Amino acid sequence: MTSSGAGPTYDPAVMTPITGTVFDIQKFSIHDGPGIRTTVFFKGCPLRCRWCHNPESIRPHPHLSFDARRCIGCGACFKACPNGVHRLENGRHVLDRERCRQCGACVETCYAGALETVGRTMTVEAVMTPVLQDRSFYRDSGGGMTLSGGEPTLQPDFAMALLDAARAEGIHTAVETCGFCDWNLLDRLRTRCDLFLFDLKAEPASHESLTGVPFERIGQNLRRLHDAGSPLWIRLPVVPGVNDTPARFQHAAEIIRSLPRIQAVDVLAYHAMGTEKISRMGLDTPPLNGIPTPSSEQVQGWIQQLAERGVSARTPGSA
Amino acid sequence: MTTATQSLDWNTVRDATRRYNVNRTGTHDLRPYWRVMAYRKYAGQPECIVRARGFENVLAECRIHRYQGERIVGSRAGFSADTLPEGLDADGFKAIVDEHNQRGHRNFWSGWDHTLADYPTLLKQGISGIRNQAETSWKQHSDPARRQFLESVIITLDAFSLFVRRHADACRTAGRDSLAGMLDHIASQPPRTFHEALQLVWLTQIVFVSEGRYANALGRVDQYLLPFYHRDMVANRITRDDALDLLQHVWAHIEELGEVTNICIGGLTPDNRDATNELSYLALEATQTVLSPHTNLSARFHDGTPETFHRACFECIRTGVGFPSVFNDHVLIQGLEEIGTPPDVARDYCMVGCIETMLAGRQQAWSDSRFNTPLLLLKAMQRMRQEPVRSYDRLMDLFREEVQIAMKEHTDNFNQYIDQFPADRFPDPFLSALTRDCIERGLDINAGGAQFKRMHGICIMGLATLADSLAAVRKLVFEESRLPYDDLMAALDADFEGHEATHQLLLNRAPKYGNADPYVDDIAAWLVMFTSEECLKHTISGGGRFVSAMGSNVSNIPAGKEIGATPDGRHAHTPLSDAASPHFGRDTNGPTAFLQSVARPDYHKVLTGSVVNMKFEPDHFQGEEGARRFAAVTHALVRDRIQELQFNFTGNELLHHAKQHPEEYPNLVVRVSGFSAYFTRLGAEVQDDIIRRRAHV
Ligand code: SF4
Ligand code: SF4
Repeated sequence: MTSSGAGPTYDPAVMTPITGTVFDIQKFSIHDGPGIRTTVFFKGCPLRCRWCHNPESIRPHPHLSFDARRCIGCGACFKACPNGVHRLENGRHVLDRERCRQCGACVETCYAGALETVGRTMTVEAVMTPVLQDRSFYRDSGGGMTLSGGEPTLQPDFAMALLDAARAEGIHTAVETCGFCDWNLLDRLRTRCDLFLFDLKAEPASHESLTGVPFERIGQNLRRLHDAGSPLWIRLPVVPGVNDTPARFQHAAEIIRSLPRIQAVDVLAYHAMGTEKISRMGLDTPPLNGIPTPSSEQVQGWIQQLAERGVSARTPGSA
Repeated sequence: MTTATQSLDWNTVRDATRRYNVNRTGTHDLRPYWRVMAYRKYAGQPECIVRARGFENVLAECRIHRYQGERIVGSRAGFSADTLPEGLDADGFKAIVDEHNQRGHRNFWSGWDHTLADYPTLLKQGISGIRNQAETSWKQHSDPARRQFLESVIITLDAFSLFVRRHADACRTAGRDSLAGMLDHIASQPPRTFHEALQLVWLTQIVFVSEGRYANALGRVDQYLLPFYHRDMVANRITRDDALDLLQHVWAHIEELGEVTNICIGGLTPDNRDATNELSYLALEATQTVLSPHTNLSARFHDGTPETFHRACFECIRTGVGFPSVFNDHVLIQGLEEIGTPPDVARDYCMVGCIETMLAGRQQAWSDSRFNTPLLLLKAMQRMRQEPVRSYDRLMDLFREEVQIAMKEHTDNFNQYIDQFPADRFPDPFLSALTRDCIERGLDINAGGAQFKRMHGICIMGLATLADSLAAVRKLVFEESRLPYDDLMAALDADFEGHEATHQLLLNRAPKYGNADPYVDDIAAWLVMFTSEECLKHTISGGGRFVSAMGSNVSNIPAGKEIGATPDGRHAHTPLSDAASPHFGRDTNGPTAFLQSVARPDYHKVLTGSVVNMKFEPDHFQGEEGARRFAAVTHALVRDRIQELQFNFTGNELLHHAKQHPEEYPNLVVRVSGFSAYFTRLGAEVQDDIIRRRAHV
């Protein structure tokens, strides 16, 4: 097999299969770039956003999730687990997660689907099979494949192999990133990627307290991607009462205005859904409690604030 | 001036017809009375003459009802009244209705409803032209029976003519002189203009209603009206807006009928060119403005369908009205040709009722019946319980056998039933007059007059229920040996009571149709082909084909009530999967996988047609981006040779329902800015939130 264009292509016959950890592959994804897309969600993230709505993405490795509402109390997991993770406490099914080795034995016996392993180790080929199924939909709608997460740059070889495989098939590629990584990783992804969806989460002053990391490197990386000529869409997660301050919008607007080749700006309104997922995963990331999901008037208000600062934004998928 | 335009507003007409539809209960249907009066008067004459006289008397005696401001006349309101005929009390009236009913009547199964006239010929020749043909044919035939038939045809045509003239008179009395002039003209002569052509078509539909026919179609309006539209355009007699307005007036009248009225647009011409034209677009515009649930618009697509038509259909669908349903010419035409339909005729097909294929104006009326296939699978499974050696292949053999036995019984029963409706005792002169070759042959539509014999659709129930069930048995019982056969049967017997783990195993560990999984999709494909070929093995008494249908409407609910739990994890007495769609809520991989699954079966032998319901979040198709996404869906229909799709844009109502009945919507995906979730797995608060947000969209 010879490569059909610039850059190397993935060839399972001659290379050791590259694998990565993925927690979901979502078809008919319409909020992660243009057209109908398939989004590959990478596991693992360097940030700890307090509003995270994909908490299953945070840890880099497969992780047991338990949804008590789906449990039918069949008791199969109690017998299956070699480590005694599942216990009854006052008639309630509780998990002693410390002892879990993520072996998946209980998941296999849980026919109700209450137990799930979030995240799978997959080869490039295994990911590309569902991605390739929808090629004609990408072509007809102007869509393609998006790598999201989590953070794709945490698994750079896997990300690059996927991008190469998609490009070899003529599929449009996009990467959603938080931008918190070494420039050379982005630089390597850049040549294989038709579009970056770049998140700006907060203004510098509160960035570290809200996301766990400082802003500086993120801002530099965004500028370098822009200057290198990469097509860019900016994504602005907005959480009411947290990062919807005039200072935040002012900061985002200044950056966006200074980078003239940014093609689009999406406002991602907060949703309270993440808090439920966190309890299912047994995670202790402090959830944002008591914040109501914003109304569409509120969202329009944010778009208006950006407009007043010279930035035309929208909600994703509505262009 | 302003009042004049306001009074011609289709909106006003639509509101009035809607009101009529809501309020009409409590009135007396006088049609049986008028028919009996004629039956008595002409007693002793040949049956076709007597029936024609009954037909005539209804059209002569009924009240001509008009709506304020209408540009197209013709209403069903005049067939009933609030008071009984003079000199009759309730008992006397009932006695007459009984006398009427004793005479018997064709019905849906014996060929009556779901029909469509030969409008191209009617519009070309006018009522008098067809009458002349009947006279000529009378002279050419010497057989007295044929002559009597042709006489009955002439009686009905004259009655039709008089009915049109009565409308002219009513318009004249109301000061609507130009409308009256048009009606006077078309009472005998061929229509000259678009307006006259539409008017004649609409009054024909009303005459069908006067006969008690249900769900009659308009057919390919964009084809047979096109010459009139062009002529009027060239002569500067009409504008695009004016033509649209007239269609809107007809659509407003369809609202009065309150029954499914199929209208077909687009597709191929008989000589294999693209048939899409200006009127196709106007029909879409009329549908998306009048917004009646009864204007059942069907859009035909083929490889050469213009992009603008894909787009225009989407604009109509996105209003939430649910129309048009979209059809694939290549699949349907292939099937029609395969059973011997000449290519040019096959290309001219359209639909009646919801989705049923029809050769317009050339064929006997359409009918269908319900075939409970999952019931037969359960029978086969019970039989295998008694056998020492059990295997998937053996189960398939038993199932095939059960289907074959039941199919024979089903078609025999049907034939016995329709044999009770011989054409000489149940003649149908008016529809014969408007069906090709009846007049030339001097034969009633049901006595060999029609150019093509009827098709009877056998609705194969529960395709996905069956496919999911077979997949589960094959995989869990026979391939993986996870579930002993006897345990499965015990769980089904108990409707999973006390067998919840088995229930969950069946639900969650076997592939489900609608997710682009070849394991189960191939079973569905086999089922479609097998059942369709079984149907085609049988012939209708008197000629014609039994063909399969996968368009069960809502009969999946009663059919589900008849049977116990199934191995797909479906509870006893709950609905079967609907029509040709994946079982609702079990398609968890999104619309693209859904489309790949439904493209897997070859539907060309499903000659009555299939229904695949796609439910979409309106959010998915907003703006320009949304239009591009949707184009990918209609392109998939054409490219992947899917037979039919229809679209349901779900909104708040569905979400409310899903919140109350989460078990019915385990996999309803809702998208919220930037991410997505299964709706029924969310907490109540979050659900409310999503519903609330949506209300603002
Ligand atoms: S994944 Fe393995 S170790 Fe963890 S709870 Fe399940 S069975 Fe026990
Ligand atoms: S196996 Fe699943 S359903 Fe059964 S008790 Fe464990 S978590 Fe609940």
